[in-house]
Amino acid sequence: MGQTLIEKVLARASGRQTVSPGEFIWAVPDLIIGHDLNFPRYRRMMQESGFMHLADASKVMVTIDHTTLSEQQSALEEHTWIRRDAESEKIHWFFDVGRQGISHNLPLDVDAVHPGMLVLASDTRAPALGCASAVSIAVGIGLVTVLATGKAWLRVPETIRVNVRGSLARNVMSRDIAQWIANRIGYENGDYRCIEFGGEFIDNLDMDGRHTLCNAMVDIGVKTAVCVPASASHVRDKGVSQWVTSDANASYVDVLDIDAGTIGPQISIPPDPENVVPASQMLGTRITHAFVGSCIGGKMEDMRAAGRCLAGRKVAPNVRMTIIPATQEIYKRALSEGLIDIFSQAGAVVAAGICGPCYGTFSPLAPGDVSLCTATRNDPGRMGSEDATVFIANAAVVAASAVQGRISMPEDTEE
Amino acid sequence: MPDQHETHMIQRGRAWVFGHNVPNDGGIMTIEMTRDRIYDPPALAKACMKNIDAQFAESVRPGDFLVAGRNFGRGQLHVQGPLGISALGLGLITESMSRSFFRLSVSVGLKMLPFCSDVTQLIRTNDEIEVDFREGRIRNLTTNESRSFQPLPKFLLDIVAAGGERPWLKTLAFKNHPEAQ
Repeated sequence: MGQTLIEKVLARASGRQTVSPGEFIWAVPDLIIGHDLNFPRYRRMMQESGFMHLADASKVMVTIDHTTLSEQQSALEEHTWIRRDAESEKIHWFFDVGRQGISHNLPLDVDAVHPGMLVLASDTRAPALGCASAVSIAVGIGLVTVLATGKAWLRVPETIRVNVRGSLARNVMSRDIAQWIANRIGYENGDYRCIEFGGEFIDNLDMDGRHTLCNAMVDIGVKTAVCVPASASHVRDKGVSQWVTSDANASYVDVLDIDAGTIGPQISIPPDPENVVPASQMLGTRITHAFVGSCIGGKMEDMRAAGRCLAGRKVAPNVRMTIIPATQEIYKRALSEGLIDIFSQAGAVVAAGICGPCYGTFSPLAPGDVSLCTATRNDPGRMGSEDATVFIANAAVVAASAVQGRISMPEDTEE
Repeated sequence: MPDQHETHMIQRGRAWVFGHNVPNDGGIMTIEMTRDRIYDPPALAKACMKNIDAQFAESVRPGDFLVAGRNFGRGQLHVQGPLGISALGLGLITESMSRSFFRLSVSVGLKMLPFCSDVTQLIRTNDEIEVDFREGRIRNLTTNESRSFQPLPKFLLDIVAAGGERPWLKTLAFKNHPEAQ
């Protein structure tokens, strides 16, 4: 019997020839990621348990992405703690304030994640890095053991194969495809599984789009998601990276075939991101807040889409708009493409490399606010007040709606 | 250390049986406990399963078992659910468990058999059962039925028997560097 991509990666990481779904293994990761909200806490837990030092600081990446702009002394003290620890432990990748980015995007900027790698992170949205044909798993507080011992216990998941064909319809972005597929698979089927994306649509999809697809699967409880590499030429052979993909005779628990061309723009209705309806059903809904950013919606594809809809236009007077490229690197690219100028001229506030309102900070929501955004989730209280309403859409729909002051399609602004 | 398991890892008590898809937030644990970031075991014990059975925390005794169907603990990676079950001193038997709940349950040292297909057909509420967590064997003393399921692998039993991931790390650190203790 052939092996799936994730089975091959987990076999290598646990020093075996093969692994099977349901098996428990100890696996050694190639990259370990933490951020300001968890890393210093986990390091102290380690130390209280008698492990003073990181098992392998050369694999560790830490970024300050949640409380970056905080005025809270407690947060600033944590930053200082991380800074000192990064220096004394010789942490390989430390991104201090000013060089930071969201932990799920930053590894791509610095070329730290390659096909075939095993990545372990504390944060729930770790599976996003499956975009690079790596296996990236969120272990929460389990990261304490990983940091202390250099390994983690894992249970090998079953895999659902999703073949996507066709091309994007008008006003559709990767986010629409992602939320539609998450809705189609659902929590009952997604739980504890790996979603493997392949097919001609995926082969032609850029890294941003692949990242969006893998990221969105988090909300249906998956263990991880991964895009198979398009071809051997897409794979750079360095470090542990190697040509790794699923065998033709690999075993899947389910196989879905999806035509991307049949999917239109989607809107996620509270309280779940996968709770989608066609955007056409929501046209005209008044909004007070618009946000383009977060690990899933703050990439170059989102910046460019927002730029197209905002160029030469103004954000509606009753809407406040926030735009946050997910990393400083994306910010710099947006700047060089003239997008930051467009955003500023339109009357949007711009920050860089932080979770922002998606974590309830930096322009969060007040009671009664109605936000249309590209954030990860829309449960009550997620972006500030529990008495605010959060709708999720693609960046073009968000930007076009910010101009109109109500949920609108991009063509509405092209008068 | 393995010898200690034998006594720890066999448990007898009454079963409390629930259905499929019991969510973590708002099911196993009230949403207030998670929202207010409560970690106090007695408070979490009182709120455990309250949304589904208001009398649950008062009715169960340490050593009893929470038995549930598929997809137990679906939802967010919130540790209050497993902590509540642990604070009541219950063993946990499910047909399947969400990955987030499973990982957290190991972290807090819950004794469990998480992957027992159709186990809710074998056990009814108030049945007296005996569970050998190490062997994966469930004996229903009320019906005289017995079945074996997949136990946790030995290395996870070690973590659970130590009382969870952090106490287990302590024993590991002591083994590696006895002088540090």
